Amino acid sequence: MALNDSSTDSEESPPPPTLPAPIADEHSGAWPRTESRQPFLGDLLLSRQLYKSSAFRLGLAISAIYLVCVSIAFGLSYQFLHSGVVERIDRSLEIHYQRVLAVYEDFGDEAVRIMMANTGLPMQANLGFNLRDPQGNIITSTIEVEPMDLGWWTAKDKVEGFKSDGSVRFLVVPLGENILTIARSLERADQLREDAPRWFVNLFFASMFLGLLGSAIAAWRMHGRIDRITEVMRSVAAGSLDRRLPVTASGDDINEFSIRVNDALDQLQQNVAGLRQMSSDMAHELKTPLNRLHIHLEEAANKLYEEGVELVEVDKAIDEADYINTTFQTILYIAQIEAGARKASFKPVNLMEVIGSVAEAYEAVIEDAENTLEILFDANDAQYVMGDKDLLMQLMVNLIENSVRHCPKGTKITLSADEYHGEPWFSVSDNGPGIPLEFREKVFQRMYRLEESRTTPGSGLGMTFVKAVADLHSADITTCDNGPGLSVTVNFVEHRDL
Amino acid sequence: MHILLVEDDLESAKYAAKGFTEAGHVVDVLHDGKEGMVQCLQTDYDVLVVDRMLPGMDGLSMVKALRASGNKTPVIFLTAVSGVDDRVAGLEAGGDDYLTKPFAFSELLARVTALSRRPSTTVEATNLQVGDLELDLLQRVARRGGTDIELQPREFLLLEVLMRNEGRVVSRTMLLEQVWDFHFDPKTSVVETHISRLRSKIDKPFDSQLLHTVRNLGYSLHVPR
Repeated sequence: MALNDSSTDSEESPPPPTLPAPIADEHSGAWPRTESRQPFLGDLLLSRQLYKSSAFRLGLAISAIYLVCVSIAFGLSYQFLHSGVVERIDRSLEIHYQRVLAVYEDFGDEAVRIMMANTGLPMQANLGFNLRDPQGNIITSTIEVEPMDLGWWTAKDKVEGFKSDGSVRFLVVPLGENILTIARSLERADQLREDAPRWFVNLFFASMFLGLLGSAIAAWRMHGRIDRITEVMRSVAAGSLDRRLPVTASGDDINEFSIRVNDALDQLQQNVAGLRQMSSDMAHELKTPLNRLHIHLEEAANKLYEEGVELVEVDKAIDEADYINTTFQTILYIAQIEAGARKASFKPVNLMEVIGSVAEAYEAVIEDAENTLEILFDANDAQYVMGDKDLLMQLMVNLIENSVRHCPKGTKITLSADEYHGEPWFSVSDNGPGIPLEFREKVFQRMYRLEESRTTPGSGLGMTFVKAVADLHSADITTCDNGPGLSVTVNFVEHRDL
Repeated sequence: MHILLVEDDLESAKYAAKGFTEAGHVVDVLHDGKEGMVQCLQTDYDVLVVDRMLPGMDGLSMVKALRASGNKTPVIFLTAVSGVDDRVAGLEAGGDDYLTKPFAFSELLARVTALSRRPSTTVEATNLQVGDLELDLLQRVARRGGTDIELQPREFLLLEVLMRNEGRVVSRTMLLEQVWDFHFDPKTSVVETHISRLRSKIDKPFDSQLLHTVRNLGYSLHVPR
């Protein structure tokens, strides 16, 4: 046996080990804790957790939908606005044409020429005329344009005679034998086309920013509540059954949810309290007569002993009374453990130290039973789990005693412990007769025993106890064939990085 | 020794009181927590034996109140419910030991005796001696009649507990608690096995026997009487 003396001898034991990682860090990576301070919005915006928040995600989704709607609406209104502007320009061109036509019809060709030359046409800087004879020679003109067919035209390029560089709208109409071209600058429509995208971009980003900010604020406000709920549920799971979710007067869905959860917690607390009360009542009601029975038997044995008589029957009766008591006590104990209230007193426990001291206690016992103990762990190593040292110790003892009791002489019992991917584990294996596959899970059932006759000592509660303690520690327990023999492994899955 | 027993079950109380008297102690018996409290404040006892479940005032509250008033008399709790929680609660309330019902009276007597003579915490002995057996706690060496005895760490601790209680009976469960930190009853003979190994080292090679087995109870280390 390779146990190191100093690590297991309480007199020389080193100062209490410090934990490799503080336990208070269980919230690491989560929101900043509410107990210490309210998280600032800035913290939140930098936090990876923001993107996990359902309120934030919902906000984002709504913002996205809103942005799509805004884009469509903007596109449509741009179209309407633009075509409206063009229509107005066309109408003004038509009005000008009507005026010129009226002058032409009343006073003839020459009047139009005189009107155009003398009445100050173009009347506005953005309006232009061009009058050609049927051969295409310019009669009078304020703008330089090539002859065009009759109808409506738009020129994208600059037209000489206009102040602005933008596109120009033309109306080409006959005026008697001549061809009249009226032109109007599309400056306003161009302005709209230029400005609209800029407005749109501004509007888009402003909406997006407001949407993000709104979502973040909603997430931040939500987070405070969710974080308090998470914190309460965590401590309830750890055994503080008196904690309740905060309920406000807002009456929203989360509040409703909290009320329901609190009702369930009330019920749970009542059940656990009821179980405890029942256990303690039963214990008191049954233990008192058991105590008296023990007393009477002991008194009888003492009296006989004084008279020089030793009755095996009396000793046997005492043993039986003790057996009833032990079984009764174990059932109550398992019920207490299964109720989970012990979790409240969990502390960091060095698994290697526990298995080391159990090995030390049992090495001699195993040798005396003519079996051998094999140690496959380093007692100087440290593997911490959050747990109850006494319960874990008893769990290991039960497993070892199970092997000792059910295996013939010459069996090798192996204790191993280590960690796998940060999860501490230990196992007790033997190369004895083992348990057939179909019974392996049943051994954890209350009062289940492999041999039908129930003649060998033991109440069949040892493995039930083992299972209850493993469950309390959220540890996985697996039984497997050791080829030959039985191997039981307890794996502390939720104790990573402790 | 003057003992106060506070226990509501009359029969158990009568039996325990008789046992204490036979062992040469003076014992007062009360059945109510409040009465117990008042009695403790009036009389100076060596040890209190208090049941956890009592009418009037439960055992825990009684001892808590007593400790709050500055009374330091050693207390043993008797409890019907066993469980580490209960033990811890008892110790936190100011109890010094606990015993789960049903128990053998000899177990109670052994624990009461151990408590009452618990050395005052002033000077810790560094050297224990019983007859020609010597235990050096600083150098961690055991010697008998000039011969060095090699002991495993737990055997050393086992011997230390027995020597500190020289002449008194130390029960099996007391050894399990103090040497192995086992607060439960293992089904295999852990104590017996280690005692027999210790005996083969400290007694067998020598003429006189120091380590004695006490029938149905435990062990006692003393020079031959």
